Amino acid sequence: MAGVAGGNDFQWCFSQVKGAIDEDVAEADIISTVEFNYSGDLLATGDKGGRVVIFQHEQESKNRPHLRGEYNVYSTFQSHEPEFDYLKSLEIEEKINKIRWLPQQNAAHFLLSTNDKTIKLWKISERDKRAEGYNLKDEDGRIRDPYRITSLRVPVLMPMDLMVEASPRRIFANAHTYHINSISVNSDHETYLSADDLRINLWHLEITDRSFNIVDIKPANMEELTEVITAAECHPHQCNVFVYSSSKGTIRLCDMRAAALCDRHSKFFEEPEDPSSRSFFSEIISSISDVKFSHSGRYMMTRDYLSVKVWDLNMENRPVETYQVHEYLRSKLCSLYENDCIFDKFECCWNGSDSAIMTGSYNNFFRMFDRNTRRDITLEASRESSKPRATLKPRKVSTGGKRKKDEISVDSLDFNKKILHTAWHPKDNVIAVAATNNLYIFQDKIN
Amino acid sequence: MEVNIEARRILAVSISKLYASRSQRGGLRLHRSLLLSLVMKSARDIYHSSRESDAPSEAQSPPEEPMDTSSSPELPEPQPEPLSERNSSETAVEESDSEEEDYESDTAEDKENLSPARQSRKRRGKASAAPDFLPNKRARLEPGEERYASPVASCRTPLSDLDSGCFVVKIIFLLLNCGPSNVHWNIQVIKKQISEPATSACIARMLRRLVSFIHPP
Repeated sequence: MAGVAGGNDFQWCFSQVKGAIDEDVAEADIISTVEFNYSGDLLATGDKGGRVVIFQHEQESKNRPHLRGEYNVYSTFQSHEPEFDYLKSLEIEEKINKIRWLPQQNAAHFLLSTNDKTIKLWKISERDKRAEGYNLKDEDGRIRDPYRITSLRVPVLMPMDLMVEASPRRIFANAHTYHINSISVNSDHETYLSADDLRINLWHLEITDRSFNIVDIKPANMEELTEVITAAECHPHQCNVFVYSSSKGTIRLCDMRAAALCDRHSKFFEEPEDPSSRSFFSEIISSISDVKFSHSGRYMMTRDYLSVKVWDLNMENRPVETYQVHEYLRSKLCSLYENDCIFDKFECCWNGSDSAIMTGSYNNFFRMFDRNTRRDITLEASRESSKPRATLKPRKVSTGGKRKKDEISVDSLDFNKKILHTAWHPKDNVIAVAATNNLYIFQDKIN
Repeated sequence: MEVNIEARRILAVSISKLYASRSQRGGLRLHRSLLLSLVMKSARDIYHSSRESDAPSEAQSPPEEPMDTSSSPELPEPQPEPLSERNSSETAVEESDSEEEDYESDTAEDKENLSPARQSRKRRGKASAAPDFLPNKRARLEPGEERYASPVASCRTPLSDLDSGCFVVKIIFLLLNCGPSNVHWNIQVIKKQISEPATSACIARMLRRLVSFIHPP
């Protein structure tokens, strides 16, 4: 149970907020991706300015046992810089589209970060000792005059202040013609895939000058283009299986054992469209913005503009669960088209036990759905309730009829405040919610 | 009729979005362009189906639609005018729209391509006039080929789409000249402007570019 309905076994409470309070938000500070590592001890964010900020979970203090420990800045680095493609006369944005952690193999941590075109493998390592007393160089690093060296000195490691270094280990460039929307590390821990609008490539983490194109949906004549790839992910346990979603609202599951080029899918997940709800914007709202496998690997979840669906990998003709995220917006699609909100790409995530799912909405609201009880809750990431340990009050949007007390009407929702990116700790009930330039961290409070 | 108006408005919004996405940092997004083109397509389909159903009733009242470039008895036949005069009238239009730099440069480019031989002010029939407005999908023109004289054979759009082509042309024209905020459906203005060969060539180029927005090479 994830305490989705609130009050049953626990409630969500505020833990921390990161980022400036200023009303004036710089474009570069807007958070564009959030990701916990496999243990949940590290939390990485990427922003539109090309920076990656990593937060580390501090152990709880003995004096204040009620505090579960906070996430503090561990490392910050500039992952991507703006570039210019001179052949196409096109600027390449530095915005970090996705971050994916690699499973930890040694003391260092590794992550992949990507912008529209280039994927980078970063190593984040700690250094708390420094070698001193070199025989052939002096303290400044200059080579000593050999004639002056009269005795042998062996360098010794001296303790120093902890330093966290981030260094680019691999740069995977020039493999994508279109904009990269997804990267996903494979369960073999050796390969990963990267997807753009029309193609998916498979890489080895050690090899930067070669990748294998595993999906290519580019039609010979671009005028015949009817769909694009919107997201892709590797299966959490079967290294030969991956899925990709399309702008038509369908999901294809491919098996890399079947053929080198997975243009033919193994499974095709599609829900028949309800003809009664057709509108000008049917194509836009059915486009899938995110696809995520459950930790178990049995299910996958897709997010479209108005809903989130859970699919059983063994059933292709319809999802096993459908949750409405903000159905009240269906009547507002025209204005959402005009103000471009309809193109927003909401992501979704599972909790550690796959019993609950979370996704974002407008007005800094985010939604949680309990899969067992089918209960849902709307919570808000706001500065007002950001007192330590303050319990999050469930919010409600009035859907037609009379607006009750404590309800907010659809017309007063702020569409500039949107929660596109959220992450759930892989083991604990700790969530990270990106609200424009602020990162909110909430955790459970056991009653 | 309401659906018709709604479809028209959505089409206009879509075109302005496509136009604006050119200047987007990081280049044109294929996903977004595709979705926009799908909205335009469904808006166009709905517009046409609603117009077909409205057609008998519209016949009685003086119609705003369809725009007919071939015959407009209420308009005086435009007199042949010197090139300089036309240029000055075009400049006046451009000045009203300082944001559309590209449009300006296009017009300038067009002046170069104007050959005295092509300055016939004679109106053509609808079927032969309409293909001028439609996009020529070839990447470039052959040397000596005139931009606004694209042969019918080079145009892959079926003739049944001509009407929608004219409709789109009208919207683009309005958007480029007035900006999306103050689009007025002044049919008289459009008829007058569209009868200018230079303008129609310009619109044809706009359309061609629109197609390349939707389907980048």
